[in-house]
Amino acid sequence: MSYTNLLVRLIDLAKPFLPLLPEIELPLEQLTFDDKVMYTIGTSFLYLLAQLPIFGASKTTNDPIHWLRPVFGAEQNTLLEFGVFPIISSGLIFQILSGLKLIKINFNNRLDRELFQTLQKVFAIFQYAILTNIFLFTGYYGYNLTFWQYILINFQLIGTGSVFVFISEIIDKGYGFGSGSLTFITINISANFVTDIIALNSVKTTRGYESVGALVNLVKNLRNKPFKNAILESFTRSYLPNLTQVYLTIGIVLVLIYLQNFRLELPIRSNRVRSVSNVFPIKLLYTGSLPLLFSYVVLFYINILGYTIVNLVFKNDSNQIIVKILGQYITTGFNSNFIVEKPSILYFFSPSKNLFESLISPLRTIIFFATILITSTWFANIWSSISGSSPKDLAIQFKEQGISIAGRRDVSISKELQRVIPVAAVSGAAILATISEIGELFGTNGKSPAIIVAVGAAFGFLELIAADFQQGGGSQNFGSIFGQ
Amino acid sequence: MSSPAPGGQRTDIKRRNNAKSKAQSQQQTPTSSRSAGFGGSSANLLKLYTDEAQGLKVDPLVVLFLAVGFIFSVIALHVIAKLTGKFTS
Amino acid sequence: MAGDGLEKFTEVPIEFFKDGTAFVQKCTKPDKKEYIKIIRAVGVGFIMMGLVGYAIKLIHIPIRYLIV
Repeated sequence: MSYTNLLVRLIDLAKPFLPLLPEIELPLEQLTFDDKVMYTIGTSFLYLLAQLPIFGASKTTNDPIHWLRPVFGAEQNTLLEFGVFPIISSGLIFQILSGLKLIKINFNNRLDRELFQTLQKVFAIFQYAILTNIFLFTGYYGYNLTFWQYILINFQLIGTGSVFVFISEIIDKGYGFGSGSLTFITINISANFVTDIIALNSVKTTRGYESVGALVNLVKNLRNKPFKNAILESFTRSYLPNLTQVYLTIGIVLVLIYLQNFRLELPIRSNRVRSVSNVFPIKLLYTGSLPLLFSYVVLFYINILGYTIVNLVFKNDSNQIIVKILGQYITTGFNSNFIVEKPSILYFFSPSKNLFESLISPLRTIIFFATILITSTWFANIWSSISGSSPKDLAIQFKEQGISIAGRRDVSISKELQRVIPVAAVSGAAILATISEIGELFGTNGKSPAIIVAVGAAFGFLELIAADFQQGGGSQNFGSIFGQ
Repeated sequence: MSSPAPGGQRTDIKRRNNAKSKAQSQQQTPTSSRSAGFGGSSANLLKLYTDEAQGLKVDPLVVLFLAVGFIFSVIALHVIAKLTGKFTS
Repeated sequence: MAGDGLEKFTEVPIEFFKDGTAFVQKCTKPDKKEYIKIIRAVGVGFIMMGLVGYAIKLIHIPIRYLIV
């Protein structure tokens, strides 16, 4: 009893914040399609605009989470240092805990729902604060910072975090399409994707100035270098986007689009109107790309925890036994990434830099893949039964609309769905994990899972947009773009 | 049921039905905001904030303008520092 | 005992793998026309978002030059 009491109190933790935190007003009426598009564009614009350099940080940094950034829309050394990771992880964790009834929340009770929501919000902002200070005190922003630098960096990063908590609330509450945090990830990844291909600006490297865009780089190489070298370099350079990554990404998108339409069509019929029969599709990617997102949340926590212990407690000193076990961080290369290169715990929970590395240390590849596979499938199984589209929920919806599965009695609808949905969700998650790992084998450094998350979310948005568009009619301005 | 329940057989059945439906409803306590019918995360989209809690109610446009203000305050910090030459890193 | 545990440990994934492949085989796959239609819709959407995003990132270059 005391156990449950303790957990009941967890949502009560949010109580003091309830009157303090700003709340976005719910829209008075359903917004028009055009308004939603405007809000989505406006908020995305802000997200990209916020990628300004942090004021007060020194320039030489060792980035320990570079391969985790793409998935969460984070950009190094900018106000969006952690992207939307704190928002996403807070949401996923608390919604899983409540779904598994580890936190008792009565979702029929208004106050409980409010507290639950405020708790997720507070925890997201709290995580921004924690991460900022971990980075500050491990010397990520330079050593010997003055008191004012600490204050200012805290102000900037926590401020930006809170701002985007509220902006994603705007989208979540129905001013935009679907989910705010996923919108930001998607827009950031698509912007980076285009940047990787066609960015015109060049960066100074050991081989002189090179264009950032992979395609631009190819064209430039073809003009300046012998043909064979030009092609080879364009495909293999490791410090800037190369064509291998670009083609891999495009390949992944094409496969995903193909998989997206895998569905099991259950024959259904209406109980009210006889002779009307139809199909109800159960998609293979039932939980979309959320399982992969969850896997990366887990990997983020493992790595940030390890990073903190190694660098904050043991000062990255290789003589310490704990550092040997967890892994010593080493600064490498042009991007000054901070990585673990010797076999150790953190080494196994991070992806390889390139195909060569993946092949010479198969154990690392296997452990990394297994981590993603297990967390993804576990999550898919849970999520398919706790999110609002579980077999039970669907069965209730079917009943309300007077629909039944052809050849089944009403009672067995839930059972039939229960037989199909978890299998779909788990297989879908396993397939996505595999695709992501195939990309990571080639050293895409987090770009493969990122593109999967983005495309998966984009499909979710597309469904909502299509539904909205049908309701709103085709007379609106932006709507005509989607009209086919 | 060994001893006859007070109130006769009919109330007994009623009581039993009542207990049954209670157990059922307990079993079906919603596992998420959406399954209780109030919006929230769906199978493939994660949503966090879909309820209107008590607190300072703010118009979304106000938040957007404040966000722009925040971003410009950071730009202003950079510019001021550059002009005065403080914190040159 | 240990062998039993191990058997169970491997049994569950294998079971799932069987169910999964059976499910995928039963699935309706998209035909070519449908596939191309979706590629167009997603492709256009993605590239459009990306271009707008890139345009905003371009704005950052002069700002960075100005302030850093």
